[in-house]
Amino acid sequence: MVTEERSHPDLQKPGVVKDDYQFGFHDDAEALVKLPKGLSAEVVNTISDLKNEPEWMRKLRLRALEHFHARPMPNWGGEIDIDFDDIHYFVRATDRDEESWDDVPEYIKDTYDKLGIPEAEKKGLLAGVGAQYDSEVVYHNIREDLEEKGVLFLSTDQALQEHEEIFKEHYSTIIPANDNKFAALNTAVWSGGSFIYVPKGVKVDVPLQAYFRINTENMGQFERTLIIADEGSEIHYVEGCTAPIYSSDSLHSAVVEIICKKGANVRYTTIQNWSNNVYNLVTKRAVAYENAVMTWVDGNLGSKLTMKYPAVYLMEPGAHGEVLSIASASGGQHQDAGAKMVHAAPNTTSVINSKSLAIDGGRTSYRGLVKIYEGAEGCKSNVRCDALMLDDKSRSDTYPTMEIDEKHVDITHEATVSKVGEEQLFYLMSRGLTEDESTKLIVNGFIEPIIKQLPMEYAVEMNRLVELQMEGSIG
Amino acid sequence: MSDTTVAGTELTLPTAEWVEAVSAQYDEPVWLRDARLAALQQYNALSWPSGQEETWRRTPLEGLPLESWRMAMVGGLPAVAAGLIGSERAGLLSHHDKGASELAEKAAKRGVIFAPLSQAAREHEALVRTHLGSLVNPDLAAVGHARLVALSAALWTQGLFCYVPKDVAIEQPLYHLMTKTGEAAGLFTHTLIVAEAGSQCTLVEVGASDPIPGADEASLVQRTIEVVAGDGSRVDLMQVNRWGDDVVAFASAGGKLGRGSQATWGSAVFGGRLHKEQVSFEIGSDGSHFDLLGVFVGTGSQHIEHITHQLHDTEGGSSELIIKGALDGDSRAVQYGTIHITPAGQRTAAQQTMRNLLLSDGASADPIPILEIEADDVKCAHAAAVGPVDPEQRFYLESRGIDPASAERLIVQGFLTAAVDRLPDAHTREVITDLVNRHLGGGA
Repeated sequence: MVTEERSHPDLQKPGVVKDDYQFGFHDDAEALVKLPKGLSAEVVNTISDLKNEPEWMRKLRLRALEHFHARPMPNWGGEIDIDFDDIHYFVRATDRDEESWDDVPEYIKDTYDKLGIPEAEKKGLLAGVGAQYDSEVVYHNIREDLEEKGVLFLSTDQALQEHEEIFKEHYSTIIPANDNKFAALNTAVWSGGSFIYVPKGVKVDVPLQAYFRINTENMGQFERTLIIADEGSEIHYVEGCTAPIYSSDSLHSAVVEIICKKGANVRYTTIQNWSNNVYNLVTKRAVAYENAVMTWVDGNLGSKLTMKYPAVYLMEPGAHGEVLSIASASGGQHQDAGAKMVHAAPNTTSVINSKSLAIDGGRTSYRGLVKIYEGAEGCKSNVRCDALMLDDKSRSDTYPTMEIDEKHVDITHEATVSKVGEEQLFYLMSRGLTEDESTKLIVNGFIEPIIKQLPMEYAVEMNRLVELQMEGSIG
Repeated sequence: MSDTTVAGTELTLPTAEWVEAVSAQYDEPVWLRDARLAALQQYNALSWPSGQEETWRRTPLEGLPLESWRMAMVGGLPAVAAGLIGSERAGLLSHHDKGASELAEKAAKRGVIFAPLSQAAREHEALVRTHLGSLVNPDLAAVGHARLVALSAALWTQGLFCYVPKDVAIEQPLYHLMTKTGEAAGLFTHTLIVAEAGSQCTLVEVGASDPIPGADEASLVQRTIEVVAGDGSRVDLMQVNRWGDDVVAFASAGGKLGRGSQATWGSAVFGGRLHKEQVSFEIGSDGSHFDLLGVFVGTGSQHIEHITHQLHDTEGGSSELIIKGALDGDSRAVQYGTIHITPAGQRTAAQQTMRNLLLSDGASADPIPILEIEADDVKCAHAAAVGPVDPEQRFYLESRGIDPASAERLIVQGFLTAAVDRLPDAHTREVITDLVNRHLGGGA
């Protein structure tokens, strides 16, 4: 199905691992609604009309559109070459989101069968599943016992319709419409995403999961996710992202807002494996109140350019933020990823642990911020960035920023950039391993501290994806 | 060294007449006057930093005397300069009213040139013309710095040319003293060092002015420093910044190291209301090594900023940056340092360490160590830290009967020692140790 796309010159660069992109199939599906390309107030109004939204949301969308037009493109990070007039901002594949897998239209079900989603759900590995196809969520299900405890897990569109009060109270409070150009774009044309509410004291023991897939060429996917973890609750949310290989670029620009109330524990895991022609420009931010713990686990393997810096604002004493991330870039890819920790209260702590691999001409950049406000005494922050370069064509950058306005704090940052050690290689090869096997082992060891934070099936997938990327460059 | 004829001019923007007057005053050759006039044109075409530039975002731009100064007058030897110039030296160029230009006979005989830059431009045209402005000029300068660089290229008055011929080693240090007096003064300096292959020298540069009690008009200093280090040479450069607190001091330094050469940039900041140095060195191949060292104690509302660039564009070089500072009062430090290794920079080892000790509640520090690595066979690491004095160390000392103020002073001195000990010139190391002590409230 993808043979035609493979003939595109960009995809034939030696060593580019496009051929190994296992999710590169696309369905020749005719969308139910597909707005013409381009961005205007009319498009925004149409999206709002199609969704039958309340007036305040329409107004907010239109205001965000103005912010989007008014803001310049970022002059840092990666090279962004997007023609905003050449994008479909809304594509509806089915006319409602289904609660039974059997009701999902056949061509969409096919796609997700290939990703193995129904099996995982059947096996009880997951507490709930959401699946988004182009602009809208097509399937949503949550375990009955959790529903009974009052846990909400819905598409964001559905949440707006059915739980407007709690939605309105929190929506866009963490990431305002004018936060940055791409957050403004998302706020103007958002569609889909997950809405999660976990009531006080409820602990969800297995992950909730969402899959995002872009199926339409020149498509912009702008899902919006809002997670509210009430006092003392626990939740782990996992998202996976894929797209078929098209010859022209797509844009994924999500906004994720998370509120961790007192004592809540939220973990948000992303395995981003977009095909290598997707611009992945995402704004993710959480606020953590007293003694809450917020962890972002972020794996970036796909996309052409990713610019993503998950943030935690530590608002009250005892809050803890963590970002654990792996980025891997091969030829033609730039992973500009990082983390932001803002210590706005005393005795808050944060950890950033970033590992990156640059392979076969790929470029990885760590870009981060640790900010300590004056008066935020007793804060601790530890940042560690390690980069491994697998050849002399690749590039690795580290751009950490520390802004420390308080004396009674303990802030450290360390980073290393290295290649696969010759001594390590020699040792393994002297034990009978080939050079390829040895390199893979060393890489696996390098990323292991992050991998072991992932749920089992994701850990396996992540290891396999990294191996696939390496196969393009070695052996 | 006497006043320039335009000294004390009214507070207007610099004009071509000023430039011509300065050039005529120092009896400069036509090519140099024309170079100054060209720089003035660039100055007029460029704009000041807006504060949006990545390396200017953290600099307080409000109230900078960028356009409210008159050409600095030369006065007496500042009292703060006393003791900064070592008595055992190979040469001294001092810019004050009873200034001196001296060079040890032995060095002169071997072809060393150590002279005011204008004089050298007359007497050694080929040498000066080849190198002047080759490493620091408005076209090469980073965004935001260019206009300051152009201004100083047009109107520098305190200049030094230091030339060391092939295989000549000058054992004792050379000293260069720059001074200013008066309020709302604009002082521009240019230092050009050319060390031929296999040569060796140590240059200590001191910028000093006495505090002006009750001064309400700030002064502007822009210094330009260029270092050309030939293959296998060794150049140790030390900057002692002792400006009064009316001074806003900028510096732009550029260096290029030859194959196997060694160089040090040492900087100590003990004065000036704002200090912002931009240091960019290209390290050579095959064992070439560069040390970039910074030491400071921030007091009052001082702003101390280091913008550094360690460029490895060839194989087998190494470099190490160590910046250590203690910050008291409401002072603030920024370190924005980049290690850039291009694809040609295989077998490079490069490091950065930035450590800031916060001594008061109002102090703050923003260390930003950046790596841009395009070669794989490299060893590269950086570390940055900000924190208070370790309470355990304090407790240990106080339990030994040392009063709290002395305990803190001892800890800070110990903290800075790792950087101070690597600064060039034994006499200057003593000077710095003493300055650290005095800035922390200890006796002289």
